[in-house]
Amino acid sequence: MMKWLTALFFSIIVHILIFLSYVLFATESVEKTTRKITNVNFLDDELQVKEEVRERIKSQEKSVKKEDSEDLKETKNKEIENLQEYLKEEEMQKRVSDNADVIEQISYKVIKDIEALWIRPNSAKAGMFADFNLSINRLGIIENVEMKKTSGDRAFDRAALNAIRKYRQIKYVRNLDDQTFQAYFSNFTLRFRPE
Amino acid sequence: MKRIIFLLFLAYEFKADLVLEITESASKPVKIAILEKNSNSLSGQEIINVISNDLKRTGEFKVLGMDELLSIPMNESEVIQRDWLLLDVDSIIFVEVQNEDNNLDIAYSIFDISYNETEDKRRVLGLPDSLRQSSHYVSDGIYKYFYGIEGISSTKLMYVTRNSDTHKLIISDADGFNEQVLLKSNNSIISPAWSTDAKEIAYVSFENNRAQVFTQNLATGKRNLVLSSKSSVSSPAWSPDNKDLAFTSTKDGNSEIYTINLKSKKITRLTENLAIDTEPAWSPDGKNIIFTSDRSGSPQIYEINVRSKLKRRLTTEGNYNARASYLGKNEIIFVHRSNINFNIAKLDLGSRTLEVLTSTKNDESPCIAPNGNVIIYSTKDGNLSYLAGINISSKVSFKLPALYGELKEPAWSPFLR
Repeated sequence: MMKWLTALFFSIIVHILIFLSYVLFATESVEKTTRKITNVNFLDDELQVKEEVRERIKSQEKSVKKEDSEDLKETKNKEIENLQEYLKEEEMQKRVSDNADVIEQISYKVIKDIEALWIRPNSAKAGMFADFNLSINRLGIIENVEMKKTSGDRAFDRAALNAIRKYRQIKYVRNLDDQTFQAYFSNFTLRFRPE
Repeated sequence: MKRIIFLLFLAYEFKADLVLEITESASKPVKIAILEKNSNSLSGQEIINVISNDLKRTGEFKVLGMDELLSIPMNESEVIQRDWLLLDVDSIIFVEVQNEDNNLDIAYSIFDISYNETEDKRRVLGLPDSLRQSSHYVSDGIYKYFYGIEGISSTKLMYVTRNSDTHKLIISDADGFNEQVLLKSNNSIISPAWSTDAKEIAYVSFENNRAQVFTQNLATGKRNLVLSSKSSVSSPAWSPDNKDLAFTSTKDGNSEIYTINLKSKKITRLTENLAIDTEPAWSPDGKNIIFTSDRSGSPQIYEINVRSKLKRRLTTEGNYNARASYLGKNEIIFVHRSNINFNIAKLDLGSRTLEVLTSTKNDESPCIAPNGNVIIYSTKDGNLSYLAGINISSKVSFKLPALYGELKEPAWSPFLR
């Protein structure tokens, strides 16, 4: 009887250990998605969506194999097209996330540069912010600035816009590949939000 | 903290939305040049001088001198943008003196270099003898355009001077010019205070050999003794609606805080305590009064609700905190002793963070400019008292020229417009 109880006890301990190690392992993998150098936050949906896409592709592959009848050839072709599109997207996404470090570094430099140009007015209060949409060309020259959201304070908007105007050119984007440039820097938002 | 936010909308669209957040700003002044438009007149130069000095004193502007410029345009159409971009100039201010019907008006426009166009055009109407005051109004307009809050160049200062045995209560422009003597006495004058509509002042005079509070109408010069009492009455403070005056008196034995309704002369006693309670100051909404009390053994700042008379202690750090006034709703400034020095400090009533603002040694009587961004106080260099100031946002400190032996007890006027 005693032997049985000891065995049961150890088995419970072992199960708890397995459970705990699983929990620890799971949280570790989530942490990996935040980058440390510049506090860049990648939304975790990225991973989930990728998995969803993969699963969908798998199920489609299965269905493609199963279906043999002539009537379904058209839909089959369509599905293959979809599938190829998904694969293409997935591949591009992979490339973009490989570029994340570069994007992060450029973003950090741009933020530093503009912070050195921005003279914050005294009317700026915590919680106030203004958004500007910047269009830049392949050489990094700021071609168009559009105010997307006003802070409600004239001097604040003026000072922010003035910092952008003074900046004129983001030289760092010249060495980026076309796809990453198009995806991130050809058009982006600058938010001025005093702390 | 820098934050870069990538919003990746994957399966839907392949365009990533990059948001870069700018949270910190450069702590450098706005660079400008002030030029006279289409002319080079004496009055124009004088106006430009006054404006330059006003803006330089804030520490928030760098005004370029004529010798620093690459080109001198007579008007907006002559501006060569490249020259000014090289100098990293933000804007050029074009000033134009307009003499019409004996009045001296000043028109000014702000030409933004990076836009290469005029962004703001205004005109200050002035009387023939008000060149300096009109120029101060121009300075305030320029300040507001760049910094979003009202400028204080057109406001007034009141202070007390002492030269051997002569005491004078004086009002001057915020730059120390244009002094007017309000009261001359052989006895001490202390604690001058402006009513919030700037029509009257209150002060303590020892002319009858004890501290008495007087009010004085600035237009008529008429004086009123607020309370005739054989004991001392001091530290007057106007309520925000100017109906009441808070003061300190020993009329019931020891120093307590009272308020008096100036119309009905009804007196309300606020504190009741064996310790010394003094130096009352009203909150901006008129609901509370802060004062100095040594009830805990050392001078500390307390707040009392005028209606409910509920009290709370505000300062806990250090063994000397006195002469407090509100800076907006949530902050107070006061004299704080750190180590052996007396400095002006600021306390955030929400976060309880204390910040020492000055680096001089024997600072006293701080008062706040009506825009809440400049503090002026009296300090000592050896035995000589003089007035010094500090700009809260730029942290730039300045000194007011002392023409007299001693300059102390400053009080800043409200906005005069």
